[in-house]
Amino acid sequence: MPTQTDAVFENLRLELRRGSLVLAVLATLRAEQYGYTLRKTLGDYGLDVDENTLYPLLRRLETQGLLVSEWREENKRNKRFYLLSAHGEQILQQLRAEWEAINSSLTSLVKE
Amino acid sequence: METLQRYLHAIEFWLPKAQRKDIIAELSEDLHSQIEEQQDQFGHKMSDAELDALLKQRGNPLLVANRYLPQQSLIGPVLFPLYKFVLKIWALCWLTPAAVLVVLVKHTQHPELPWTSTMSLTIGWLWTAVFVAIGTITLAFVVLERVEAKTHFLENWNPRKLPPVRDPNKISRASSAIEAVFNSAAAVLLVCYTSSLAIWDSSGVRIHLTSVWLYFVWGLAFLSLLNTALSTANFVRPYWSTVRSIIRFAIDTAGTILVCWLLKAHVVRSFWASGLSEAKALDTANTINIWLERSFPYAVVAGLVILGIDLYRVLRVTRDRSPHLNHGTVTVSSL
Repeated sequence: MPTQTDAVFENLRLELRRGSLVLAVLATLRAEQYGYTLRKTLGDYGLDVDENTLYPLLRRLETQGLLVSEWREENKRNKRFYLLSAHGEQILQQLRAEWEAINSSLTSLVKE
Repeated sequence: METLQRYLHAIEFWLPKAQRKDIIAELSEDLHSQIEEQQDQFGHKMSDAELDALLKQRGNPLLVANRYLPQQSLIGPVLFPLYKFVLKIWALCWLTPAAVLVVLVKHTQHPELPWTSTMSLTIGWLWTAVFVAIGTITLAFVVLERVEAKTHFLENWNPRKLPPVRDPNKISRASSAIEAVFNSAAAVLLVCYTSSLAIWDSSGVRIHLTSVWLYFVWGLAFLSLLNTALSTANFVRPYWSTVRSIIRFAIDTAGTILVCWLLKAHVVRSFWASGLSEAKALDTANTINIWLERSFPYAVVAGLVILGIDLYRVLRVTRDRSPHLNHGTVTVSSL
């Protein structure tokens, strides 16, 4: 049975990962992928993402113009392929710089 | 695979119309990929139980669809605390007094009914009023929420217009002065003009009271003098202290007991008016006593409200003076 501490940690862990997920998705989609393989790739890098989080996120990023997508047939099935747009690339660079700054600050702050 | 179709159909129902087909096609593709992968892993066709487990792991259709919908709420997190606060104030300042008043009025109208029946009559009346009031408040906040979303009026604020910090233990000197004058005048008037059993003898009307009245008058006059002394002390040292707040509580308790006792004591001994038969006069005296007795619950409720406020003050002052709490800006004087 999970304790209250476990629940608090789980909430904070999810909050911490949520912000990084966009950066991970944008970076991964520099090469074209469809949802299922994208999730696998992220999982391979240790970033397990729930399908119910990933697909709505992809749609939101596409609406914001950061991704482009197209339906294409592969292995006799229609799949929706996503790719980083030019605008997405620009935002990715900015987010990466921001993440590096945060990472550097946090590394100094949390090191014992 | 019929279960899968039913699952996708259930999700589709809740999705925004424009994106429905697209989202379902993508979800369907993802689920098929997952099924294929599992079948490769297990080395056999997926059974119904395994498919059920997969879909259960995916989540309730409503929850899955919900992730694709924009976050929406009748009253958002910004205005919700204000909404809750308004409901609490409404319950405290309107609902509770109204409920008590209706119970009392219904009891006065039907004194033969037991209190439980009177209360159930009140609940019937209150039910509609509560629904209408909560509905109106909610509707007002829904409108406010929409206006806030469009105009962001909450961001337009001025720090200089914030309300001043109020010290609840500070006593206004003006109110202390008014209290002192009023109580001393009441004590004088009670003793000079009402300390006789023949309380009224003018214009052909005579009212005589029982000896209970004298105890009441002298008791009330004494309490008025005590209140005058307390108000004077409050005027000189305008912060509630534990001792003075307890004295106020004690005076009000005694006052409430005195008034309630008078109402029950059948204080009118005789009533006489020119041209009124003896039987009719006796009847009038009885009627006055009955109505005084019927107003007893009102006096009890009013007394309890006053004592509740007094008690809250005692607790607040005691808590604020606790050495564990640091109220740097508050100066508390003792008696």
